[in-house]
Amino acid sequence: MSRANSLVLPGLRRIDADEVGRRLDGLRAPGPVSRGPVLWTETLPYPSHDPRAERLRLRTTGRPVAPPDGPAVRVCLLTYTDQVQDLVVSARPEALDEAGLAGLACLLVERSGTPDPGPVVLPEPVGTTAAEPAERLSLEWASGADGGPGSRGSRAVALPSDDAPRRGEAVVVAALAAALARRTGGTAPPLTVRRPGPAGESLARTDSAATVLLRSPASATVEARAAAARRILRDAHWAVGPVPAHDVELRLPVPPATRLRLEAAGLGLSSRTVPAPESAVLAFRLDSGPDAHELSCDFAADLVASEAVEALLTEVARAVGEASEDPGPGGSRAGTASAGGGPALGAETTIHDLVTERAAAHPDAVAVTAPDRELTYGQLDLWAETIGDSLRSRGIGAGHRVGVCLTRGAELVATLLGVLKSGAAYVPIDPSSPEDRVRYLARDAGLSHVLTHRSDGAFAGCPHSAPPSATDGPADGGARAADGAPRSGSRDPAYVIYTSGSTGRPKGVVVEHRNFAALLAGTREEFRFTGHDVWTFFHSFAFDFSVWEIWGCLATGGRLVVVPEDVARVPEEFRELLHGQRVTVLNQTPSAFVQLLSTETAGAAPLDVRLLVFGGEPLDSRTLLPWFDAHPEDRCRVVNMYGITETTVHCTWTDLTRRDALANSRSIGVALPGWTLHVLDPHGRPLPPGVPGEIHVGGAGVARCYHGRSGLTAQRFRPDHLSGVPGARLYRTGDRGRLRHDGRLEHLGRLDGQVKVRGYRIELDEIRNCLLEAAEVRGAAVVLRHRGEAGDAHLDAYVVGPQADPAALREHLERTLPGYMVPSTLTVLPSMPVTGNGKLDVERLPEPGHRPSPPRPAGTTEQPVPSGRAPAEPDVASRIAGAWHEVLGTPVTPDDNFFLVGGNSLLAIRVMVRLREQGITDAPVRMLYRHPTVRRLAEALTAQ
Amino acid sequence: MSDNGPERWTVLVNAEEQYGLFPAELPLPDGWRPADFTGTEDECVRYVDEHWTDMRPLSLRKALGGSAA
Repeated sequence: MSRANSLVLPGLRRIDADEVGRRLDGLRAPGPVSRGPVLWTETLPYPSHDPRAERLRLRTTGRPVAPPDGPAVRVCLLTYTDQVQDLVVSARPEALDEAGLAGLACLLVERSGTPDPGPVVLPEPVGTTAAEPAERLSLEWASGADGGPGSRGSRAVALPSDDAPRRGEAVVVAALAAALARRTGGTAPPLTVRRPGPAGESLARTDSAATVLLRSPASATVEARAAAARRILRDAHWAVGPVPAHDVELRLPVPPATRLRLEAAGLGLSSRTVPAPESAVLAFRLDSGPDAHELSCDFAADLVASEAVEALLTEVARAVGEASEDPGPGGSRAGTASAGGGPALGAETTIHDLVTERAAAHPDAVAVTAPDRELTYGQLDLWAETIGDSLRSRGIGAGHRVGVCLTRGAELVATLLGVLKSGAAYVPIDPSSPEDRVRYLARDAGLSHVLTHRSDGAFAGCPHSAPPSATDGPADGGARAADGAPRSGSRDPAYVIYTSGSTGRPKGVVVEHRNFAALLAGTREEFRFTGHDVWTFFHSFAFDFSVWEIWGCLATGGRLVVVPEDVARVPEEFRELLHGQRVTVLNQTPSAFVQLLSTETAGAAPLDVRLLVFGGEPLDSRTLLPWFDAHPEDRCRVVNMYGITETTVHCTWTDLTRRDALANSRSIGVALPGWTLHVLDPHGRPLPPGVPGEIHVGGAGVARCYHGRSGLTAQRFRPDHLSGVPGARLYRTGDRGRLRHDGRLEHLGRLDGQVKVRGYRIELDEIRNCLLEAAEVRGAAVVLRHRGEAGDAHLDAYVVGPQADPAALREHLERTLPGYMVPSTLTVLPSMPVTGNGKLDVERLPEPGHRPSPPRPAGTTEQPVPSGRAPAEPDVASRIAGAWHEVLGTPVTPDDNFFLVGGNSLLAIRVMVRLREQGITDAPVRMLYRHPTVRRLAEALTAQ
Repeated sequence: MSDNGPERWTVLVNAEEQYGLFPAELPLPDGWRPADFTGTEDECVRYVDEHWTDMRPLSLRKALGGSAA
């Protein structure tokens, strides 16, 4: 039984109980007398100022209006020994709200003549009503709640006073709707507004509540939104009694006219209304006095963090304050999710000049260690000059693009540097790429030349040659003097890296020298790169993580250890290389690193890594725990960096500690110096901290364009309206994130990472994270596939972990996730397949049907049905297995549990229908639930 | 997200003659001028494809004297 809404009119005098009773009778609704409102009168043996009087009022107001099938309204008239009287009006919350109570109270005690009750009918006691399907409030912005189940919290903020309170109400409603919209994905949630009836004409009209939807255009000014709110409040369908209970509720104050009327009648109004129905997640209440408004919020403390409510109230108060001094669209920028990493540092140089400077300073220092040879800085520089000259002698220079298609080695490094020295930009083409893709890249990039040893037809139609060898020596002075092509500067493109496009056509990202120079300038001090550092060149040079590896090393005088592809693929060999070469700076994608971690065993050769940088894909910091066990933070710094090719490798950084790993931090940290980050809504408006939106990156790393795709470039690289830098651009990443209150950015996956299964919206990352919570899981992936005869959508989960037990994991998932999010299959893999870029290769994940067999008792073997051990009639078993295969879209073994290999209730029906069609059985579907393996079902059916 | 963003976009151009799509409902950002085209996102992309033919920044084009493609 919920508590009652109550209102006390204290300090009354000479109220005639009989008159109150008559008026109450006049308001009685048609229907059984037992259901009409009741009047209780009580004469107390103490004065009104006695402490007992106060306790009595509290008791009276707090008492439920019972029984449920009885009167919905109760009126108590308390008379004290000093002849002072209190009128306490209470009603069940669903019957009458505060406004209704106020109106009713006025009617009962008003002195000027007998009020005309007019057509008013007190509401019938209300049972259950069919509520409209409620649109639930998204609460992501309010995460961090720490209240116990069912607990409530409360916060309040003072609002600037307004001399036109009614106008003020509309402003508050508008500001509240806008603030909520910013937090819930751009659309204001439905708001239950409870309002006292229109005062003045007839107090007896106890209009109470309406559902209000405020969906003003993004451009709307505060004033325009308030005008819309005013119209909506005026025209809303104000219903007496219950309205659909929404998660957000706003209670407007008793109208001034009512208050004035009560005051004129010599009555003070004091409300003890229970703040809100228990269902409202956020119950706001606006209280207006002559001098001030207060907006308070009573909230579900187990769902909503109090900081989030504070931030929301502050924002509403600010917007209300701004309403009179309208700042125009965009509103105030304070408190929005934007963060800059500081000014860009010395970026006006080229990559090759940075390397050449190191070569001039330390020509004999080793620059490149490759399996076949070692190059000093002097040798590297000379070889690169030779390559550059050979290109320039062909008329190639700044503004040109030169393809490089070589295997990883010293020659590749010299060639990349040589292309830069010519003035052209390099376009990496992975030598393992299929011919069609190579041909596409060569054509799309408009290559002037390709340096390659490849002799298939991929480069037909495009000038190509092998790069000059190290011993060719520089071209003669005549050729050098003769070249007329322009040299490159910091604003010329350095490389064009192709990334996959949603349309299926890869697109070339054009990155300028100054973009990389800014990256280096922003990080070298922090990471203290020196000539003593040893880096690996681990990642494909067609993936921009390699830009950081190669040029980060060579521009700071370090030694670059080229990791051959066949070593990079074998964790034990790679670890041996790290140990043998005494590598100090290791860059890894999380997928690649999980494999390296498998070598982290007792007695493994020690490593000299002092800096471990993650990039390229989201990191599950939990996977780092075994690393921290072997490599304490004081010996090896672990840094996670987030970035995109379009913003030059990295744009944020954060240190990771054992504590972060334990807490599974999703923070990707703060912007690098020179970079800016914004979390924006779909309209380009900054979102408050805590609210998820799309990550936008501005500043020194923003690439020039997508090569030859002007429309796409204009779509993704937007005018930067937030930095104040004239003409600057912002890259919209398509990544979902939110800024935390401490200024750090959290990465929440791709905006398009959401899938639908049987109509349910599912974030695959959520399932993946759930799997990773299991201690025995080292890596996890979840994919959506369509298979089976009906092309049904299934979720397939894959985990890496020698100790992982699919059945136990499944129980864990079922414990944590709603049923529709539990993957149909769960496959344990020895390792996750990764692409050449070191990212998860979804294409190469095996079909769940090819999963390694679950542990079996010794002596049994995995065999196609019928199994030799099967006591059942073989034909039945094999036909059952056939039906499963057809329906599930995957082969099954005799002991596979139907519900663990993709089956669900719908598919169970299909299987049984199929068996019926084949004349095998007409057993009910529940047979399959009781006997969920082929073997057991066959036995059961045979026994029938 | 339940909201797919603005329906009306406008094409802007900066001093380097780089183009960018911008919500028509927001005020003009500093350093950008309208290219006099407003439409849906797709229409704006098509407009830019047709009109932004040399993607090099203007200052670079001037410095190179238009020598390279």
